[in-house]
Amino acid sequence: MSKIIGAVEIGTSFAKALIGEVSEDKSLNIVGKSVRRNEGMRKGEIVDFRKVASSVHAAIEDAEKMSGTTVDSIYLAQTGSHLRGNCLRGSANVASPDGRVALADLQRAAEEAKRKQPASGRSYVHHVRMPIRLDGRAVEDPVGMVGHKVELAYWSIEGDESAIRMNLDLAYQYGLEVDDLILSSIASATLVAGPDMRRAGVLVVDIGAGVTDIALYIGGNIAYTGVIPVGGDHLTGDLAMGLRVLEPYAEELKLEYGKAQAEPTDSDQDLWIIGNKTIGDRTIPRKAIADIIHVRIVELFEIIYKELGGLLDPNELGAGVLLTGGSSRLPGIEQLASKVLGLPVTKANFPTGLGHELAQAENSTVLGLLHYGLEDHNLPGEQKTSENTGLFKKIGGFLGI
Amino acid sequence: MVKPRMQLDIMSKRKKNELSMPVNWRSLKPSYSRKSSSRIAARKQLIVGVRVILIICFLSLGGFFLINYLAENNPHVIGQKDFTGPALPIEHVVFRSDGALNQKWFLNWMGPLRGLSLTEVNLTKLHHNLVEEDQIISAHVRRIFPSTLQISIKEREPLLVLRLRDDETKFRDWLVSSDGSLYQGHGYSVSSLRLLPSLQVPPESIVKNANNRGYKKLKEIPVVAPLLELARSEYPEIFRDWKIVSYNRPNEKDPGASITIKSKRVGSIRFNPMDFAPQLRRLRYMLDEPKFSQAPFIQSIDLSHGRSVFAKI
Repeated sequence: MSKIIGAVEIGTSFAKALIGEVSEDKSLNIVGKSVRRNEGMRKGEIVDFRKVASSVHAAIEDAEKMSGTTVDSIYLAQTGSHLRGNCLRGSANVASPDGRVALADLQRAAEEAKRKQPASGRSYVHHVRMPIRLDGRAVEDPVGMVGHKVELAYWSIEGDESAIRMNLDLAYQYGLEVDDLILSSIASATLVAGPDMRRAGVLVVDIGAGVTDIALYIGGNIAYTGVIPVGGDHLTGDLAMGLRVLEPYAEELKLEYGKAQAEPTDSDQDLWIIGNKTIGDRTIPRKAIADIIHVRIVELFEIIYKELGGLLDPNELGAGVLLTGGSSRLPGIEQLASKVLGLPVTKANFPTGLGHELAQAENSTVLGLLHYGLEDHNLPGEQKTSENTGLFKKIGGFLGI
Repeated sequence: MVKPRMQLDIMSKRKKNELSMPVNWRSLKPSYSRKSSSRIAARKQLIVGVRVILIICFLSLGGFFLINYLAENNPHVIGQKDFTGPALPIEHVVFRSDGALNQKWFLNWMGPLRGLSLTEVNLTKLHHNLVEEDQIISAHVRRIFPSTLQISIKEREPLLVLRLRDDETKFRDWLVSSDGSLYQGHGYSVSSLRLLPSLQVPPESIVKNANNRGYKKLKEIPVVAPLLELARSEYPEIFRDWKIVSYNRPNEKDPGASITIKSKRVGSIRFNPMDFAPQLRRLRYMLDEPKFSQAPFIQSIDLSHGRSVFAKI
């Protein structure tokens, strides 16, 4: 029997909802999608709750109508500059007399790792498991192996409680449960960087409208996540200020003529700002647009470089850097990023099978949420828990309540 | 030096039980009502609410019909439906009445209850039989599980006594209630019946019932009854003296209508069948007048002509 899952991304510019049908063989079929403009957010954080609620609920409703079904629970993306990542470590001695590692040993180590409290007013969003070590040696699944001590580490992302609560409330108010709250960067990376790339080492940079999410994988495991409060809207703002035009015109110029690096031919080309050549319309050199964008993009990658510091080791990042998110469509951005970061940079490709309309850089997070939901993130040997197993929940789901 | 202290302050803000478990986003799930912030969510909540109500109604109706069906198709249940489980034999009878009948009368009337289970009592039939009794106006019968039968009745109140010839030789007294019903009273004390005035009516106005048991209601009595009830409650010393009540066309609109009462002191008191209160006031005034109070017997007082009272000593 197939299962319906939903994903919602509340982005700075758009609220996106996807509904997928997971068949018995675990293949995912997207049956509903919707994108609604979101005007209640700035830099990934909610500034007008009711506007955001209207956009998000309208997006979910549209997706439900398109799919002809309803969702009971969703995977929800969480971003924002309030998020911080820390590495939490725990260990446990192997309890079995014969020295064989059991699931209980791993669970004790996991419990110890997660015991650390976040500061007051903050809450954990996501615990991403890092490599398991048995007597100091990295192993994939230690259950059944012989050893003395298992060590477990989690990359734990914590955030501001009120911001997380507002995000959750958007789902709860529509009568939805939240299956999991997933960091946007991890969701994007799940989709665009497959297991091979993650094993080889990869940095995924998701440049959204309000913020840029980064996720660094080394040796197949997460090594760092971060949120940089610079995004596509800053490019628009810079253009509006630099060219002294209104933001809607600046947005149009960015989308139509924007590029990360100026080319020699750009100096000779003049562009009309509004385009209708009426009073108030004027021309600007195309090079000016590229120059303004260039400065901001360089700044963005410099921040990333500074934040990651020594982690950007070309020897450990075999797959280089993958760019995704709406602003990664900017021509020439990968060359510029490569120059700043000193690593090979490519634009992310999407898995085959997705339609052209869906396989766009700005959809990587919401698509990644669904893919993340399909994966098993439990400890080795631990059974995947499902909340929707109660009789009443099943009956309620069947009756559409 | 400052940093550890700040850390301590932060930690102390958390409750003790929170310290054992890390704060996870799942603990932020709101416990309060999910009041919607958008029209779409409010509409969805409304739709869900309506669906829940419809489902509850549907299930309730289904359950009701199922119980009915099972009860009707169960060969062990005959007549009445018992949803309360098995009952014990009747141990207590609670009998309440606003009149003269008592529990002893009921037990005699009902017959033997020994061994009879509470569920075996046919309440509808019992109620019907009680109401069939002339003395009883209404009855309320209920079971109180496990072993109590409760009966509450409302009785007719006798206002007059009518003596009728049963056959050629025997006379029988019939009680007349305020609605004109004639009945054989049970449980009244002799003294209370002795105080009731007798009714004197032409024989043709007394009609037997079709089954030859009892008599039809006297339709004129509801006109006379207010006079007697008012006199009994407001002027008991006058009422006590009344012996025979008769009426002549006691129709309010009939100019010749009158009610005549014979008492010990007055040979005939004539009332108009309208506005009894002023007539009784005038009667009392008359009887209290020295000239009348000193007279051993008054031949007649006619109060039926409004404010003019005609009296003959």
